[in-house]
Amino acid sequence: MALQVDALTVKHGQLTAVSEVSLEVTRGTILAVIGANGAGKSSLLGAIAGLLPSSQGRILLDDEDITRLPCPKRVQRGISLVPEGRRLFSSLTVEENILAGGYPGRKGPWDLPRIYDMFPWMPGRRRQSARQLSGGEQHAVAIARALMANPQVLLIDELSLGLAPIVVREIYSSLKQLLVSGLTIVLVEQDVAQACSVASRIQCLLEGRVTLLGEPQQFSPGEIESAYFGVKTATAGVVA
Amino acid sequence: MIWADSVIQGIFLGGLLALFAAGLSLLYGVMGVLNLAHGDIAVVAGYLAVALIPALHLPPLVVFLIVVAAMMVGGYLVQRLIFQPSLESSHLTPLLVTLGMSVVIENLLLELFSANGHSLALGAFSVGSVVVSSQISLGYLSMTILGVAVLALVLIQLGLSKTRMGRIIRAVADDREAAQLIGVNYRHIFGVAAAVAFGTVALAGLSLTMYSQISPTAGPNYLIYGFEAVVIGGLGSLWGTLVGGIVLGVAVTVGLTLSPNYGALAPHLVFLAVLAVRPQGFFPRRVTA
Repeated sequence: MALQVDALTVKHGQLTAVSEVSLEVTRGTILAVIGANGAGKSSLLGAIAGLLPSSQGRILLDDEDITRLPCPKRVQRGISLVPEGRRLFSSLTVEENILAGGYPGRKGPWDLPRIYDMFPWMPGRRRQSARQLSGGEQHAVAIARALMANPQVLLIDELSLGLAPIVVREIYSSLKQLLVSGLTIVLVEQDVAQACSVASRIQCLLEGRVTLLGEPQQFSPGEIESAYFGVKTATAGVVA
Repeated sequence: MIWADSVIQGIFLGGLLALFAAGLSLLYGVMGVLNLAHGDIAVVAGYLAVALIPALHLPPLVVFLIVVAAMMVGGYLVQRLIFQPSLESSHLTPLLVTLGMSVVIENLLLELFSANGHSLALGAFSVGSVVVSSQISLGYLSMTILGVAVLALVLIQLGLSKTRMGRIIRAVADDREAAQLIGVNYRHIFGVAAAVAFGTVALAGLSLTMYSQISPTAGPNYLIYGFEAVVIGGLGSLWGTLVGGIVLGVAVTVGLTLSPNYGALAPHLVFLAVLAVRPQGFFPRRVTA
C-alpha cells in the first residue's frame, strides 16, 4: 500500500474537521475524495501533507509511520501537495516556480525537460511571472512544481475549482499521463463526474466522516448524491 | 564647484547608508521583521574590529573578514534562537524583542568599552584622496565604501536571482507555508536571510568605524537613517536602499554645505518630503530578484 491513513482526526481548535477517517491507496492508482464544502477534504489532505497537525490516528507511507514528521520531511519521503488556490510564488517566474519544487535529495523521473514535454506551452512562457498566468495555467505550474520533488504520492486539492470546463478536461487528461509514471494520486474534488472518470476508488466525506467508499462504478448516482449531501438513508456500499 | 563636491561626497556617504539599509530591507522583505537593534549590531561589528585588530595581530582586512563571518554566524543564531520564537508569538513581539536587544547591546558595550568614541585609522588609506580640482577630492576610503556597498548589493541580487537558495528565499518571502510544501524548512531560510543581513550590517559597522567614530549609543542614529533609506527606496527593495541611501547622503552633505546646523536636519526633511509625495517609496517591492 503506497499510502495508508488509519482513524485520522484533525481539529481546528474545538471544531473537528476530520473524524476518524481511514483510507488506503494502492501504488499507481487515483483515489478521489469527494464531498461538499466543509466536508473536511482539504483538512484531510493538509494533515497527510503535514501542514495541519492530526490529533489522533496514523499516516503510513510505504508502511513507514510519518504521522509526526513535519511537512518538509514528508516531501523528502515522497509526499507532495498541490494546494487549493495553487499558491504559486508570485515574485518568481514560471520556471523559477517549477525549479523551486525540485527537492535536491530525491531522484526520479521528473526534471525540467520532462515537465516541458508534458506541458508544451510552458517553455514559451517560462520567464513570465507566475501571477500573470490564467487559473488553468497556474494549476499546471502548481502540478509541475509538485512533480519536481519526484513524489511517490501526489495530493491534489480542488483540481477543478474556478477553472473553465475545457481547462479542467486538459488537466484531467494530464493526470492519466502521471499514472503511467507509477505515481499514486489522492485527488480532492467537488466535481463528482470528473473525479469518477479518472479515479479507481472514490471516498466521500460528509462533516468529517466517511459516508461512501469503493469503486466509482459500484455506486448509482443516487447513492453518491446521498453520501455527498447526507439527505437519504445509507444504502448498500455506503458507509453508515 | 563646492556644490558639486557636496553632491559627490553625499553619493559616497549614500553607500554607507545603503549598507545599513540593505540588511533592514532584507529582514523586512523576507521575514516582515523591523529590526530595531540593527544600528547597534553594526556598532558591535565595529567594536569587534577595534578589539580584535590589536589582539590578533592580523592585517585589518583579514580581521574584517573574520568579523563579517562571525556576524553572519551570529545572525543565523540570533534568528533561530531569538527572532524565530518571537515571530511565532505575535506581530508585535519581534518589535519588542529587537528593542530589548538594542538596550542590552548598548549597555553591554558601555560596560566593555566605556562611553568614549572609538575609530579605526588605517593610515594613508583613511585620509588619502584623488584630487580632481582645488575643491573636489575623492577619498580612497569613501570610494571604497561605496564600491563595497554596490558590490554587496550586486552579490545579494545575483544570489537571490541566480541561485537555488535565492529562489527559495524569495519563495519563503512570498508564502512560507507553501514553501514548506516544496520541502523547505522556512525557519532555516529565515536564518540564512538573517545571516546575510547581519553580514551587510557588519560591513556598514566596519565602514562607519573607519569613516567616522562609533560609540555604544551610536546605533539608533544610524538605524533612523537606515529606516529612512529603506522607506525612500521602497519597502523590501534592495536597489531602492542604494537610491534611498544616496538621497539621504546627498541631503546630509548639501545641508552641511548650507550650514553646519542643517547637516542633521536636511535628510529628515527630505525623508518627510518623499513620504508626502511618494509614500510607497521609489521602488516598492517585497524581495527583489
